[in-house]
Amino acid sequence: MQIINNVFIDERTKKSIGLDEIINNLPTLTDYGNKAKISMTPYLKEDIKELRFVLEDLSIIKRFAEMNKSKMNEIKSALHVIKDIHGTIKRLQGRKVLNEVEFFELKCQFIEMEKLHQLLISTEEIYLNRFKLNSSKFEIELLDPEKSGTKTFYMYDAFSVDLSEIRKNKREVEKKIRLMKEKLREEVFDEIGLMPKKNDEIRVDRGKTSEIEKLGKSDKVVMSSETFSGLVFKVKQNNDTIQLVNKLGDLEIQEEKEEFKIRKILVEKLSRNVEKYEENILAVAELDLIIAKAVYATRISAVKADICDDVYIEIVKGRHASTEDALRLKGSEIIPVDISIKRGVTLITGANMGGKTVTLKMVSLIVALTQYAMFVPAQSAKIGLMNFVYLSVGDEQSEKQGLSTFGAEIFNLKEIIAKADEVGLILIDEIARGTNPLEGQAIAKAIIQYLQNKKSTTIITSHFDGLCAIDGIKYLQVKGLRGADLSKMKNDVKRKAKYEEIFEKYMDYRLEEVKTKKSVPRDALLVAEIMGLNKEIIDSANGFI
Amino acid sequence: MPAGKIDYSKIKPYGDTLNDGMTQLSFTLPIPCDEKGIEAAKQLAAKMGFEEPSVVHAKDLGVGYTYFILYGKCKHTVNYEVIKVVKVETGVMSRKEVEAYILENLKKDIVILGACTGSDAHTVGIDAIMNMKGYDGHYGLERYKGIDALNMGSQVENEELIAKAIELKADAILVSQIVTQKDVHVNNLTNLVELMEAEGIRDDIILICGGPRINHELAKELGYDAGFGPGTYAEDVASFVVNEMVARRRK
Amino acid sequence: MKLVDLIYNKYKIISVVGMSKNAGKTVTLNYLIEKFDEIGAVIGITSTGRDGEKLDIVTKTEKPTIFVMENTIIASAKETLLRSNAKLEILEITNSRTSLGEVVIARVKRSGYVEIAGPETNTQIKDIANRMIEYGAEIVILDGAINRKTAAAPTISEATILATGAALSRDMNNVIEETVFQVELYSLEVIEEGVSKLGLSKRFKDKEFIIIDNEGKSEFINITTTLSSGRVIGEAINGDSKYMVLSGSIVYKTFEDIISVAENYKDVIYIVQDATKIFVSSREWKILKKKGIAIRVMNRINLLAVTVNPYSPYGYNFDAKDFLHTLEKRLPNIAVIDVMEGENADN
Repeated sequence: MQIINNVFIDERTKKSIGLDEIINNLPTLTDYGNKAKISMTPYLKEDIKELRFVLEDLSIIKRFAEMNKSKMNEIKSALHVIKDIHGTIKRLQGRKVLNEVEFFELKCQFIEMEKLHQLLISTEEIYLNRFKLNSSKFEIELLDPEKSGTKTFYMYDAFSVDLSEIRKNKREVEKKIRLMKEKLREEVFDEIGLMPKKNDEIRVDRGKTSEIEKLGKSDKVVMSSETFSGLVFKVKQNNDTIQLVNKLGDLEIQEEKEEFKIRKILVEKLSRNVEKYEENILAVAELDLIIAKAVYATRISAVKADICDDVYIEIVKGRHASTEDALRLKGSEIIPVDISIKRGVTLITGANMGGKTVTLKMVSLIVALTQYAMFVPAQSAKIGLMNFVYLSVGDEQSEKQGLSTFGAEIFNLKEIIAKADEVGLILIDEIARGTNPLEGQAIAKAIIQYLQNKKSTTIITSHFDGLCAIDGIKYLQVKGLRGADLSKMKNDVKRKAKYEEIFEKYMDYRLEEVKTKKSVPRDALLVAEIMGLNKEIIDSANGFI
Repeated sequence: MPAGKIDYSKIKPYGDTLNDGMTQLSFTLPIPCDEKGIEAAKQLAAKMGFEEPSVVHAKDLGVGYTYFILYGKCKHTVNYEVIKVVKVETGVMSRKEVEAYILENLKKDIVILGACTGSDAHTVGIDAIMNMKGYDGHYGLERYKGIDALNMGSQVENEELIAKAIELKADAILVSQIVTQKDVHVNNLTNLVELMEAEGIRDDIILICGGPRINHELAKELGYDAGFGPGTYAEDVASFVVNEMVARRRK
Repeated sequence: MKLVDLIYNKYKIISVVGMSKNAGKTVTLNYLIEKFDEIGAVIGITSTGRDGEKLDIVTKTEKPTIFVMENTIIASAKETLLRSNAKLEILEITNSRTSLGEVVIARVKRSGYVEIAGPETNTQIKDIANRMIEYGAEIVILDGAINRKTAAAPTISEATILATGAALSRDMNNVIEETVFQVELYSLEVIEEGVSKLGLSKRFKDKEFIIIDNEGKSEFINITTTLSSGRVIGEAINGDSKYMVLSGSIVYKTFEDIISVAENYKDVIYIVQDATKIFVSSREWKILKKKGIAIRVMNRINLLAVTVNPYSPYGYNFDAKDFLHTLEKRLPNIAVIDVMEGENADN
C-alpha cells in the first residue's frame, strides 16, 4: 500500500499532529490487536474503494457498540482473554513436539476462539466477512477427549487405549507394592516391636543397645546408615517386592514413551490446520482493532468522513483532538473551525495566538485519521485522498542539529518541493520566518508561486504582508480579537495575568475568506498592549508604522 | 574431525579416538609417596568411574602429602540431548536498539542502580556492566541514552543500597557477588530481598544478581528476577531490564 | 494436639520458614503433606524461591524432593513443572514471571516428586495462594526460600511454622540461641488497643512515619524509608514523645543512630507493622534490650510450632533428644517437633 521510497506521513509529522499518541492509545484488548495497531498502514488514493468499505464497517460497529452495549461487552470480554501464542503456533507449524503447558495454551486459545466465533454468529450485525472466525470444534475435541469442557489440560487417559492400560497396570502394581510393604513392616513390628516409618526406616539412638541388638539379629532389616548419634535400619525388600518395583519402573518408561507418542500425534493432527489458526488470529486482531477505533470514535464524538474522488477538503466544525483534551483539562472547550480547501495554495493569516497552527494540525490530523480508516473529530468532513501529508511547523524538536531555525526550514522546503508533484497535502506554518522579512517574504512568494500549479494541495500560514496579494491563492483570515470587548479584556488581565487563558476566552478562532481586502490584520500591537507592555513603547511603535 | 558419527545421547571424554573416554585426573592425597600410595590413587580413580587407571606422575609434597596425576577411561556418559539449560528468553539487543526501544516503549529514562554488597570488594564485574568503558568494547550502562546508571561501588551495605533505590526511584537493581565457600553471600543476597519486601518495594523493582558463579537457576533460588554469569555484558542486562519493564506494564 | 490439628479448619494460608538453608523446611513440608493426606485434606503448595530440587544449587548437597499426593494443587515455574515426575493437570498460567518461566498452577493427577519454584514476590504469592484456594485447596502452604522469612508476615500468611536445625551452625548452643531469639521476635507484643485505633493500618499501608506525643498529637517525619534515616528519626524525638510509627523495615544501624541523637529514645515505644520487618541479629537484639529499646508490633505473627532437624547435610549432627529437650525447655509455650522422628517420638 505504500509508495516505494515515500511514506504517507513521516514520524515527525505523526508526533507533531498527535497521530502517534492517538494510535498508541487505541484501546485494543489483545496482544494480537496491539500488533495490528502498531503495523497499521494508511489507505492511499488507489485504495479508495476499500477504504470506503472499511469505514462503512467501522460505522456499523460503532453503531452496534452504542446501541447494544451489553452484547458488545460480551464480545470485548471474549476478546480480552485471548493470549498471544504465536510462538507456540510457530513451533506447531515446525512439527515440534509440544509440552503440556503448550497444549494447555493451545486448548485455551481454541476454546476462547470458539466462544468468540459462536458469539459473532449470534450477532448478525457485525458478522462481517472479514471477522469471520473458523470453528475450532475439531481442535477442542482433540485436546479434550474426556469432554470435560474445562480449560485445563492433562495427558488424559482417554488419549489412547494403551495409555489407559499402562496407567491401570501402574495403579495395580503400585497398590500391590504398597500392600506388600505394609505387610513387611508389620512383620518387622511383630518380630522386633518397633514399627518402621512409611519410608521403611527405623532410627535408633546409639544408647538403645537392646533394640540395636534385636535389629542387628533380624534378617528382615538391614543397617543402611549411621550418624554420630544413631543408626538407621531399613526394611529389607524381598524378591517379590523388588520385582514389582522393577516392573513399576518399566511401566513408567512405557508411560513416558506412550505420552510422547500421543503428543507427537496431537502435533501431527493440529499442525495440518495451522493456516486456519493464523486466519483466526488475523480476524481477532482486526476485530479488536476496529472495535478499539469505534470506542475511540464514540469517546471523542467523531464522524465518518465522506471520501471524495477529487482533491478537496471540506471540514465543518473540525477539532484538533489533543488540543481539545488539553483544553478540557483546564476546564474550557475547544472552538471548532470550518475550513474548505481546493487544490492549489491557501493562505491563512491572523493574530498571534489565533490558533493558526492548531488549525493546520487539525486539518492534517483529520486527513490522516481518515486515511488510517478512523473517524474524525468534526461535525462533518469531505476528504479527497492524499498520497502524503507533510507538516512543517516550528514547535517540533529539530533533529538537524547545527542548523538554525531557518536552516531547518529550508531543509523542510526542499523535501516539500521534492514531493509537490504528487497528489498530497502540504502544510507550512509561518513560512520563511527564520530570517529577515525582506528575503523571507521573497522566498515565501516564490514558493507559493511554485507550488500553485503543482498537483499537491498546500496550506500556508504567514504574517507577511505581501503574500495575500498573490493571484490565484485562496486567502483565509482568523477572525481574531476583532469582535472582542477590549476594555473587558484589559480588566481581566489586570485581575489575573494568565494571558493564555484570557486570549483563549476572547479569541475568535474561526476562519473567514477574504476576497477583497488584501492586507494582513495588524493585531500585534493590540496584543502587546493587552498584555501590558510599556505604554511608551506601544505609542512609539505605533508612530513608526 | 571425529572419525565416526557422534552419538549425542552418550557423550564421553575424547582422548584420541571418539568415545575412548580418556581423561586426565589429578589430586592430592594425605599419604606418603610410595607404591601403596600409588595403589590408593588408582583405587580411588576406579571408584570415580575410571577404567584402567594408571598413575603417570606422583610427587611428594613433603609433610606426608602426595600429588598424583592419573589417566583413565571414563566409563560414564552423559545424554546431551536431554540436557536443558535455562537461558534468558528475551533476545539480546545492541546498545542502539536498547536506546531506541526505551524511546519508543518506555518514553522516560530508566534508573538502574548497581553495587557489590556486603563485604564484597570485587567490583570488576559490576564495573564491566555499568561503567562507561564497559568491557571488551561492550559499553557499560552509563553510556546508554535513556538509562540513568549509578554504580555505588564495593562493600555497599544492603540498607544503603535500598535507601538509595528508594531515593532515586530505581527501576532495577544489580547486585554483584562472588560466590564463596561459606554461605555468607547467600545470606547477604536473601537479606536484600527480605529488606525490599519489608520496605514494600520488591514488586516495583527488577532485581538482578551477577557474578562468576551466578546463573538463572541460582537467581530463582534466591528470589531474584534474573542471574547473569560470565560471558554476559551490559547489553544482556539492559535488554532484559527493558523487556521486563514493558512486559510488566502490559499486565 | 497434633500439628495438623492446629491448622486444619483454622487457617487457610500458612507458611513454613527456615532459620537457614537446610534447616529442615523440606522435611517439615513433606511431613505436613503426609499428615494432611492422612486426614484427607486437599492442600496447595507453593514457594518463594525454590524447593525440592534434587541437588541443592547453592550448597551442592543432596536434598529430599517434595512428594505430592493426588488432588494437591501446586504453583510453580513452568520449567520445574515440566520436569516433575508427578502427573499434572495444567489449570492456569499466571502473570507471575520468574527466571524459570511463568508460574503455572496445576493439580496433581497422580502423585510423584516435584520441584516447587513459586513466584518471586510476596504480593504475587498471596494472589496465587488465593487462586489455589479457588481451585479447591483447603490449606495452602507457602514454603519460604532458603532463610527468607517475610512470607511469615501476617499480611501474607495466617500462621507460621519455623524450621530450625543443625544446618544453622555446628554449635548446638548457637542454634538454640538464634532460634529462641527468632521466636522472641515473633512473640513481640501487639501495641495496646488505644493506639491502634489511631488508624495505624492506614499509616503502614501508606508507608508513613509518625511521631505521637503524650496528648495523642501526631506529626509526620519527613522521610521515605528508615534506612539511613536514623538521625532524622532521632531528632524528631523530644520529651513529650510517646510512640513512633515506623513503616517498612527497620535495621540495627537505624536504632544505633536514633540512640546517638535522641536523649529520650528510651521513653518512646517503636511500632512496626510486624516482626518480619525487624532486621537485627540476636546479639544486636540483646544490646537493644539492654539499652531499653521497646518495640511493639501492629500484627503479631501466629507461630504454630518450631520444627527441629538435628541432622545437617554438612556431615555433622546433634544428639536428637538433647537438641529437642533443650529447645523445648527454652520455649515452653510453643510446640517443638522433631520432624525426622515425627510426633510419635518420646516428646
